[in-house]
Amino acid sequence: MTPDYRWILDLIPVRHPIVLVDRVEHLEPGSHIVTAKAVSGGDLCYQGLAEGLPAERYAFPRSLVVESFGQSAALLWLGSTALRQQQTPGAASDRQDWVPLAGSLRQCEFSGSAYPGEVIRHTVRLHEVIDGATAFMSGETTADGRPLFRVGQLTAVRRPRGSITAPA
Amino acid sequence: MTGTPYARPLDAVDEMSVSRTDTGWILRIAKTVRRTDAYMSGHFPGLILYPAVFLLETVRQAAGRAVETAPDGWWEITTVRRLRLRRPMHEGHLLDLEVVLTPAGEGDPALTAAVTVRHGDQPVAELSLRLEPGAI
Repeated sequence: MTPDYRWILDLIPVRHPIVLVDRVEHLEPGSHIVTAKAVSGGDLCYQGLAEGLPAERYAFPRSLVVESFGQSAALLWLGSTALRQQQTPGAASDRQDWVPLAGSLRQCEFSGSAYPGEVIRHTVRLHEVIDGATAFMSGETTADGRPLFRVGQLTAVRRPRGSITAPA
Repeated sequence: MTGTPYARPLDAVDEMSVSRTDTGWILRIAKTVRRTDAYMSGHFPGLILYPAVFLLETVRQAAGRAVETAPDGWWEITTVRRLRLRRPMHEGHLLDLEVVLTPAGEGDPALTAAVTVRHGDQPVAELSLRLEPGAI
């Protein structure tokens, strides 16, 4: 299946300007997802750059590449759960206000950079979900087909929005 | 130079002190979580949290201020060996980062970074990273 942009916004609570997935290109629920993010010179990260910089200084910030990967991982996990419930007659709805959070990253390597005009494409695989609250994933990212980033393990957790409160 | 010398999502360092050691540098960094910083208003509406990945940005920008071997202080994260987030970083939290920077080795321009993040007396996150000058 190929979910649309509304589906993305329904599943992950991020909003402009930090929605870093533009399109879901393929979703195999419970298995893997392929997503795309188009890097634009209009992205907020390019505001305030000095004039006359060489093109290499327009490398899309790697922190945002990782965030984009993480959003893709959340779509795979939460989207798989939502689709399974839709397809199970009588199943209780799980569409409460979940907030997905990064728990940990391990063995992640960058091998290049992405630039305005290029498309970042993530492939994320879901390995295990424990008690519906913690998921283990891995994957790779390319920029216009070039290897960009590899994730050995991403651990994500999800919490009901109301349970996430700041300590007094 | 007017303007920033490389693309970055936000100003991720508010204040910083640098200590030189026999083996490298120790950085103490303060960063307050603010919804008015770029990108933060969308993460998340009604529940502003500092994205864990922005800790990478904080370390990268701090290394650029402290270590002059990268052109214009432009460092890139090349490896995230480990990032563990223990608790969310809420709007208004003052994050206190200690970053131990060590040259990777003879003839290698990279740095390794061992990072602990706290909010008050609460541990928030630990990271182990490798950075290289951006031009490489």
